[in-house]
This record gives sequence, structure tokens and C-alpha cells, in this order.
Amino acid sequence: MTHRTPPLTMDLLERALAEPATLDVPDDLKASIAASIRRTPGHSAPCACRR
Amino acid sequence: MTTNARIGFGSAGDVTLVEQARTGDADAFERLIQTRLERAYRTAFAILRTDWDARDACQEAFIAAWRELPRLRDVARFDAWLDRIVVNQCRTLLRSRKVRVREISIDAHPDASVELSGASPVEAMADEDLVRQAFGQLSADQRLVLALHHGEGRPVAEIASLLGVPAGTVMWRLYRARRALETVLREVSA
Repeated sequence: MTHRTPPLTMDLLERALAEPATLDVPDDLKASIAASIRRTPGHSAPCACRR
Repeated sequence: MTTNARIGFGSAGDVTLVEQARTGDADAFERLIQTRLERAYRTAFAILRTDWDARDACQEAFIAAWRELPRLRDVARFDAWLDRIVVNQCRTLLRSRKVRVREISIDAHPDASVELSGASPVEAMADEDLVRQAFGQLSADQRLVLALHHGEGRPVAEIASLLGVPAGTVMWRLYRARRALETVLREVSA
């Protein structure tokens, strides 16, 4: 099926790129990040000479 | 609508949490994540447009923030700093998938212009889908500015601060990105 080319209005652009009304953070994402940081080496105390 | 409060710092308690996290306190960092994950996820989704990509970007961004936190000199800039890490992670993710991203010459259609639309509701929804398809074919930098400004409603000045470029550069990038989007839009709707 062929669709006409819509004129790219600011309104159309903002509607197309707007967040979905139901956008929710996945339930397990925070737990996944928390688990990752606890396994991530290399985090050390900041240098004492910092400003 | 988004305001500069988005990048403002929350409270004295937040400062304490950042200070604690900087010394390696994972519990403190988790509490910082708790109050910032939704914003980060929304930003990532606006740029990347898929749940899994947004998840990946957030995961990598927060791990990077955890690693780099000891190097953050001004804890009051934590939110702006984190914002930048999230956006950079989105850019990295897009660039790692170059096969899906094309650079579009805005000179291909010099007569391109922004017009008023008289579409019906059904046509309007189809038009939005077409714009999202076209958006998915833009370069990483073009997607970044369009998503942040037109998707999230961030002011040009805020985007300039986020990307570390002058406001005029952001305005130019927005112009070029919109023109590129028009070009791709013609292709995907042909």
C-alpha cells in the first residue's frame, strides 16, 4: 500500500516523538542495575587532592 | 513541559548520598538510582524508541556513572552529569548499530518545507508511524537532538549544556535533522 507523504509539521513531529502515555520503567531494571554495580570492580575512593 | 528543573539538584540529602556513593557506598548509589531511573529511562526511550534498547542504555549508563563517580568534582552537578552519561550511552548504542542508521543529505530535496497538515485522525496516526520509521533511519546525532527537543521538550539551552556545544550549534543541528527527516520521510512513504 502506498501512503501519501505527510508534511512534516512541528505538531506531527512532536506527536510522533512524544513518549507513549503508558511508558513504565521495567520492574526488574533497578534490581538488574543494582546487581551490576555490586559486581563492578574499580570503584575506589576519590583522590584526596581533588578540588 | 520540561524545564531547567530537570537538571537541578534535589536536596541536601541527595548531596549526602552522592558523597557517600563517591566513596564506594553501593547502598547510597542505589538510592540515587531509585529516584533517577525513570527520568533516565524516559530519555533513553525518547532517543532509542524501543524498550530493550532503553533498558540497555540505562544499565550501561548507571554502571558507567558508578565507575566514574569518584571523578565527579562538583556533586551539585550530579544530575546534569548523569544526564550526559545517559545521552552519551544512547549515542554509543546507536553508533554500534550503524547498519540501521544512515546519514541523510539535506540537499537531496532543497524544496523541502514545513507545511500545515489537514490529515484525518486515522491518517494522523499513520503519519506518526511514518515519522517514527523515518526517525529510526537518522544518524545518532540527528536522533539525539530531535528526541531531546521535540520528544522530551527540552529547551535548546539545556540540550546545549547537555551536549557541551553552543546553543547555536544545537539550533543548526535541529534544522539539519528536521530536513534530513523530511528526506527520509519521502522515502519511507513512497
